[in-house]
Amino acid sequence: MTTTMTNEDLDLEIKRLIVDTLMLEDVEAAEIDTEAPLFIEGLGLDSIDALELALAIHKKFGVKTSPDDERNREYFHSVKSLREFIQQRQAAPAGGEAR
Amino acid sequence: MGVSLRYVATFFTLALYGLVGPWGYLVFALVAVFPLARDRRRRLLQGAMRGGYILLHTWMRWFRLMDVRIEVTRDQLPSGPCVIVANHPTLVDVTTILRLVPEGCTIAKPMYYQRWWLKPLLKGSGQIEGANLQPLSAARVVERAIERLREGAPLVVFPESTRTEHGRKMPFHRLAFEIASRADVPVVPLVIRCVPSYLSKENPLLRLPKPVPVLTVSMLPALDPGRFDNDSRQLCDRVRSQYRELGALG
Repeated sequence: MTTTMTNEDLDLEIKRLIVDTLMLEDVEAAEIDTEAPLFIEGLGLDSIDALELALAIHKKFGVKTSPDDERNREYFHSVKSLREFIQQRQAAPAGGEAR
Repeated sequence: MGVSLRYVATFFTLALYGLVGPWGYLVFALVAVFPLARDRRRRLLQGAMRGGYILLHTWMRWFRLMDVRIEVTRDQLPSGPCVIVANHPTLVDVTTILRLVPEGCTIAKPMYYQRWWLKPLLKGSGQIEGANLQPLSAARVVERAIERLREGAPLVVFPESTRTEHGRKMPFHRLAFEIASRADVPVVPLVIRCVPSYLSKENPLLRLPKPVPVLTVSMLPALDPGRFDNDSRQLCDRVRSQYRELGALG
């Protein structure tokens, strides 16, 4: 990930990752609302989707998630919160692993 | 027995449950803390639960509250571990399936699992606490379920998670199919029907239907995840369409 990537670019990358990883039919990446909830309402993802998405984020952005992290609900709330989580982990010295 | 007498029987059943229930849970709690080997304690609690469910169904039949008919025998189920899925029209579905497979392991909602009077029974009999609102908490559930399948216990899951609401499009979750695909064990779809509808979201306990409701449990052919490339999505879609064709979902 280059540092010149804008928030909008990263949002779109996350949206594409969601659509491709979860094989969402009839959903275009660009149509996903950046701030809409991903689970139950909004995109209606389920718990297994969350596991697949966490794995895909690790592969693509080198950012690991822990199942025991109490803030997961906050991180996985929307595309925007996922982007902030990824940026925060990538910026942290001992945080996310480099891609 | 007329409907008014059935109402009396229902109130009597509730009162009896209120009086006897707490003592039953106390016995379960004692068994759960008694120094026994884990497997022995588990079998004892599973046996006690099955006995309780048989008693409940017999009671309901005698008082013409509901007639539970299980049209599947234990021999028809796979001999090894499997994931049993079912639609969920009534409150007594769990009791019916666990009567058929007392060694079965269910995934209980955390709000029930964490109740102090239920936890010793659920934990001691090998049930699993379900995922909470944390998006990644399903990882623990999948891991624990695979562990229980490897111990030889059939896993019982309602993919709709909660009782079917007719007329509402219910989510049909992939959890059961993901577990079956990862553990590479067959999925056994059971079909539960209750005619006329009773103990459902629409027809609760105190709305007695006429005639006496008959609850039946039948089985569809078992599905091998290998036939679906161990892809939980495909497996889930297949079972969901089977239930839809039978009109067994909301």
